[in-house]
Amino acid sequence: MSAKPFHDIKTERQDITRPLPRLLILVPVMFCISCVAAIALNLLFFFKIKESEAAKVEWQGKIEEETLRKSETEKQIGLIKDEDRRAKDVYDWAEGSRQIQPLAVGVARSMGVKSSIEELSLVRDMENPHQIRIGLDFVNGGQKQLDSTLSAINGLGYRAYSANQTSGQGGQVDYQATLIWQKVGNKNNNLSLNNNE
Amino acid sequence: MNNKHFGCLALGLFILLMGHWTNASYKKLRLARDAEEMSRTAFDGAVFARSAEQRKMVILKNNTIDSREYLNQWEPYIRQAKNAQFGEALINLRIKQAGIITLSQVYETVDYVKGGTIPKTLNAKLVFEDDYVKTLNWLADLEGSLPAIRVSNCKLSKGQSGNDIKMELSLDIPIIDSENGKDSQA
Repeated sequence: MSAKPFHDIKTERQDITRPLPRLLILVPVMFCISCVAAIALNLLFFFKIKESEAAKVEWQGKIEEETLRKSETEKQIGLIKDEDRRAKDVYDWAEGSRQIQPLAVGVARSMGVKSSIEELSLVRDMENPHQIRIGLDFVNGGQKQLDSTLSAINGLGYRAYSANQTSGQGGQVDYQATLIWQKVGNKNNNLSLNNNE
Repeated sequence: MNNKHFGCLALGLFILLMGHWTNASYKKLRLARDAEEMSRTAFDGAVFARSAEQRKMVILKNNTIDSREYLNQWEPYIRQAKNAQFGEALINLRIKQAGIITLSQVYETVDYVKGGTIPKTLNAKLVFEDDYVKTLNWLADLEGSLPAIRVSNCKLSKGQSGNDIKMELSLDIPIIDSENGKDSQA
């Protein structure tokens, strides 16, 4: 047997295909870099998205809080407006409810010794209750007595308008007028508004 | 094309796919950031609206302080007569306490302003005949103790004897039902 090695029998193996250009060695390198970069970037984006979503939820919570506070404020405004409206209603009522007794007493006290009241009527106007229609029927004293009575009425803060005066037999005087309150006070003058002092 | 070319092409495609995936994620991130920014802007708007409303409330409070104080002072007097029966009893009590001679008394509930602060009033038509001083003092006491009472008509004439006077009164007492009146205050 020959000691000649067999491998020498094997002929040199030819490449089946031609080698790729050397530049394309970058493709697997790029693939590796892309894999690492894509995973890293996507992870980063994922966390950032979660962060933004959490922040958005937080902002929306704050918006709801603000909206709630706004609606509470609107409710408060409504209550204030309602109170203001009620205050105006009460003011109108109180203005038309000024005490009438001092006026009656004032007229009665203004009468001289010789004069005498036959009838005194004080009627509030239905539409304008702060206006009082006075009807005074008295005897004796004439114009002088009437002036004295009107002076007493003025002293109480009222002024007579649309006066109508008739004199009858036996010194009888019939006087009618509309009395309007003159001392216009401030709204915050509390209860004193209802007093004639 | 051989296997090596296909391999390169496949890797290239994978690279493109990863690029696309990353780009899609980036777009999602941008959308999320835009949404966050919009929420932040909306929050700024909500804060501005709330502040404007609060400023409005403060101004309104300051502008209405006098009238609200006025209401606080007057409301107990306006609510003195809780209902018509109570108002009637109140007047009767005053008459009994003074021992004044009453010729007649008629009570009637009247609609005042529907939906207003004072929806109804109790109208009392009273006729007295007693001593001049006693009668007018009684009227003063009534008007003083019930400041919200409105004397809509007062007619005074001579009584039948000496110092007596006849007084015909028409009184209006505001009636505010307790249930309706329990409005909360600002």
